[in-house]
Amino acid sequence: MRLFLRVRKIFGVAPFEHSSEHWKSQRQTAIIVFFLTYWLIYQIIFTLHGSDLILVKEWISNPINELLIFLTVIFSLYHGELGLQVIIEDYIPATQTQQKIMFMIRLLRLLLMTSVIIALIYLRL
Amino acid sequence: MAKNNQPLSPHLTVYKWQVTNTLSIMHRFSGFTLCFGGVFLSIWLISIGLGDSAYILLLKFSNHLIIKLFFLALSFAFFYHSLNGIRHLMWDIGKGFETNELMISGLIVVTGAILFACLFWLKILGLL
Repeated sequence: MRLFLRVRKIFGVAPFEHSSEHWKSQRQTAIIVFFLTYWLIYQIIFTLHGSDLILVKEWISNPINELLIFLTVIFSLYHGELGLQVIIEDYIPATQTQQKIMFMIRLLRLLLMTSVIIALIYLRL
Repeated sequence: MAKNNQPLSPHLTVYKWQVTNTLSIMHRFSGFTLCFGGVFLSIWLISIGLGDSAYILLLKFSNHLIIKLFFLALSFAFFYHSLNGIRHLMWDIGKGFETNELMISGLIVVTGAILFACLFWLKILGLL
């Protein structure tokens, strides 16, 4: 069940995390995102920059690239949301407004994430 | 979620500016900038799924001067945030709190970020 909750957190379909959980998740995702984004930088330098759509599609048709870019997006957005939550808690009083902003950020993450997943599935069809 | 009596962080204007808090605020600010990078990354992938016209539209959009400047800022933000992130993780395991260690690690992170970003753009522009 703990694993299931972990997966739900990663995909943004779990309640907002309590402080200690948040702290741990932020560090864990930091390490994951570190490796994934440096992989992406490597790919941008040696393959992606300046490529047209055909080349990019060819690149993404490699399952390893597709999996890693998928994980990069998922974990970056998750790590980003955790970071934004800290900023919001620091500078916006704990009122309804704070809750609303956090909810909006969660909504934006879910929207981007599902769109990316749909796009990646579509490219596989 | 936060309780209603949760205190706010002191606002930026009250700090006496020194190396440590400047780097800390830069970490937060670069992280904030990178959130937009994450949004762009997602939109890029979505545009690939949408096909030719969307992808070309995104390329045109990316060619705008303001967006190019954003990418420049994003690259510095990325290398700074990723390197300073290691520094933060070292603190989390209790290392590097001495004043001289803070200064040295801070210096390494800032020069490293500038160096990495410059190398990145030299590679991208084909000058290296």
